[in-house]
Amino acid sequence: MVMATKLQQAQWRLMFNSLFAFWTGPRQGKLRGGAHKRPAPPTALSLYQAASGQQVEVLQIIAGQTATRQLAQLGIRAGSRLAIQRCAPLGGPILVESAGSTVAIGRGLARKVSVKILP
Amino acid sequence: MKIALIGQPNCGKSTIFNSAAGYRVATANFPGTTVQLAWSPVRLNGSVVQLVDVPGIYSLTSTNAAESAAKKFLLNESVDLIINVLDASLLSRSLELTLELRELGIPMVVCLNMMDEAARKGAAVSSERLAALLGLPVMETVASRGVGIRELFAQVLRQLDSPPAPSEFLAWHRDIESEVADMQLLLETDARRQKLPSRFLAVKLLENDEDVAQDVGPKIARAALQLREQLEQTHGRSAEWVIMSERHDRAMRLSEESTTLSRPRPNFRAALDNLLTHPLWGYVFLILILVLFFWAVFGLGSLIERAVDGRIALLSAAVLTHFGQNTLARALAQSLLDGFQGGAGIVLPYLLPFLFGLAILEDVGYLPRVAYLMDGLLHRIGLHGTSMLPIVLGYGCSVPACMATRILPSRRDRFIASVLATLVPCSARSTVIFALVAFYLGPMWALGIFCFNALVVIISGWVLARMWPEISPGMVLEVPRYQWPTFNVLTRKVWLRLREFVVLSWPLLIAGSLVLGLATYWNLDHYVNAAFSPLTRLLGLPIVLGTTLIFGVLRKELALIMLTEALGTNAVAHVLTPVQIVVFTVFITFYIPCLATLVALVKEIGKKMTALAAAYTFALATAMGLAARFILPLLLSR
Repeated sequence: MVMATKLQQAQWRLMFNSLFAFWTGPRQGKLRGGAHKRPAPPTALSLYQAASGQQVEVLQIIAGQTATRQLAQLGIRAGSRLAIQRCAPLGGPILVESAGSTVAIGRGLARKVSVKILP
Repeated sequence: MKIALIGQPNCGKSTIFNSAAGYRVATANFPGTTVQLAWSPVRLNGSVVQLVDVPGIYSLTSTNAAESAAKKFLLNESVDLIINVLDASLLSRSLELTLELRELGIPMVVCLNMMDEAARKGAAVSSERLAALLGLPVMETVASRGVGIRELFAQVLRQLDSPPAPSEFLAWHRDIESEVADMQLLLETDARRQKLPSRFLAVKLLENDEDVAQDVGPKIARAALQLREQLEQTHGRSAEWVIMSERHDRAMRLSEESTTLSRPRPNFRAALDNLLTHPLWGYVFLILILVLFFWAVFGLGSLIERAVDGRIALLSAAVLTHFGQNTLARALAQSLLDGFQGGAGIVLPYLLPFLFGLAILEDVGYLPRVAYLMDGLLHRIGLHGTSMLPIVLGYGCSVPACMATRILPSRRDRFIASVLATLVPCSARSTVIFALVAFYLGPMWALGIFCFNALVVIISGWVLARMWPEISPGMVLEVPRYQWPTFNVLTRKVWLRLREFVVLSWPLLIAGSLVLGLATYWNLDHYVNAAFSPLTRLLGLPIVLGTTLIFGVLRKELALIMLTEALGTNAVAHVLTPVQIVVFTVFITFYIPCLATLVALVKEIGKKMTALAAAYTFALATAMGLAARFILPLLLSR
C-alpha cells in the first residue's frame, strides 16, 4: 500500500479542519475559504473600526493590487475623505460615501484601510 | 464605421444604446449590467454605422473579465469615434476615464448623462465650460427620458474625423511631462510601429500596464523600467500611483472649474436607504419584499391562469370534436393543441408577472442593497456580497446569471457563483413551482420549496467554498442611487425576455408535444420510460414521467408541459400524490441545468468544470428528491 506523503496528510488535515471550522471556530493561521485572514496592519485606526456617521480621511491602504486598484477607481485612496454611512451586522460590509457615490466595502478589506477620524 | 459607447459602470451607456438601436440589451440599475459587447447597425443621417455598447470600465486598468474585454476591444479594434458617457452627478470621478480615453487620439464626444440627478444634488454643470477646458464637444442628456439623444448623435456626425483638440489645461506637472516626452521619443524612434498614439503608449508604459508592456520590445521595456524607477525616486511612490494621482488631480480641477454648487434638494431616497440598509429593519424589509414578490407573482399568475386555461380547454375540446377517435390526425391535433395550451395557459400566466416584478427590482436599484445586506452572511460560507448579484439574477434566467459572474475578480468566485446561480430556480423553474406546487398544494408549499432551495444553495456554497479554499479579494461594490423605473423601459425589458420564450421555447414546446404525441401513438414512449425507470422508481414517481425528464434538459418549462402530456390529463392532482408532486418539482428544480445554461457555463468556466457542475447538480437533485420522498410523508402524517 502506498503511504500518503506528509504533504498530502497536511492537505487533508487542512481540508478536514476547514470543513468543521464553523463548529470549532476560526483558527488563527489556518486558511479559510473566502475569508481574509491576513493580519490587520498595525495602525491606530482601520476603516473597520470607524463608526457610522463619522467623517474620515484615508491614510494608507495595504491590500492586494486588484483591491487597491478597485478602491482607487472608486475614489478611495490615500488622502480621500469618506463619510461612513452604515456598518452591516454579522461582520458585514461598511457603506461609505466617497466623492458623491456610495460604495460597499467588505469588512476584511476595510481592515486594511487605515484612516484618521476628522472632527 | 464603428462608434463605441464607453463610460464607467451604471452611467447609462446601454440606455443610450437602446434609444438609438431599439430595445436590444437589458438595462438595470446596478454596476456591471452589461458584461459583453453588443453591436447594432444604426442609421445616422443616411449612412449606416455600427454602434457598440461596451461593458462599463472605471479606468483603462482592468480589474475583472468584463472590463478587460472592454479594454481589449478599445485597443485592438479600430474604433472611429468614442461616445464617452459620464454620470454628471459623479463628474470628477467620471472625468478620470475621459482623460485616459482622450489620449487614444480617437475622435470623441463627451455625453453628460443624468443631468437631472446632478441638478438634484445641487450641481449645475456647465457643458460649454467643460468643453472648452477639455477640448472636446460636450452634450447634455437625460437618457432615461430620451432627452438630448438626437442632439448627441447630430454632434457625433459632425465630430467624425476630428481628433481631440490639444488642451493646455490638461498638461501635467513639468517633471512628469518630461518623463512622458522621453518615453514618447524612444517609442517613436523604435523600429516597431505601433497602432496606438505614442503618448498613450508612453503613459501606459510608465503606469506599468501589463497589456501594453507585452507588445513592446525588450529595449523599450528596459527604458520604461528605468524611467519608472526615476519617477518613484523623485515622488516617493510607485509610478503607477504618481500618474493616477496626476489624472485624479486634473479631473478634480476640471469638475471644480465647470460646476457651480448650490444646496442639494431634500430627497426621500436617503431616508429610504436608511431604512432599507438598517441593521435590523433592512432584513425585515428584505424578507417582506421577497414575500410580497412571490405573493404578487402567484396571485396574478393564478388569476390569469384561471381566466385563460378554461377558455383554451373549451376551444381545444371544440376543435377535437371534428376528428374521429384513435386516428393519427387526432393524435397530432391533440398534441399541437396541448403544446399551445401549455404555453398560453400554464407558462405565460406566471412568467409575465415574474419577469415584470424582477424588472422592477432591478431598475429600482435594490439588488446591490441585497448584496450589501447579504455580504456578512455570505462571508460565513466563504463568498462575498458581490457574488449575490449573479445569484439573484439567477432567479430570472441562469444564462445571464452565469455571464454576470464576469464582474467577479477571482476565478474561484466565478466558478462557485455560477454553480450556485444555476441551482437557484430560474423563471422557468419558478413557473413549474407555481403551476404545480402552488396551484395544487397551496402557495405556502411553494414558498417552502423556495426556502428549501435557498438553504440548499447556501449549504452548497459552503461546501464548494471549502473544497477550494482561497483568499478572495474583498467586496468592493458601488451602490447606485434608487431610480424610479419608467413603465416604457419596464415593458420593453419584459418583452425582450419574454420574446425568448415566445420565439424559442414555445415552438420547441409544441414540437416536443408533437414528438411525444406521436411516440405515444406508436407506443414508442415505453422504451424511453423503461430507460429512465431506475430513476423514476427510485424517486417513487410514475414510470410515464421518464420522458419528461429528457425534455427538462432542453428547457425546464418543457418538463411541466410534458408532465400533463405524459399523464394524459390536466388535473395533475388526481394522478399524483402531493408527495410525488413535490418530489418531481424538487428534482426538476435541481437537476442538470438546461441546454442554454450548459452552453453558457462552458463559455464561462470551461468544459471540465461544467461537467463537474452538471454531475454535482444531478447528484444533488437525486439526493433532494429522495429526501423529499422519504421525509415529507413523515412530516405529513404527524
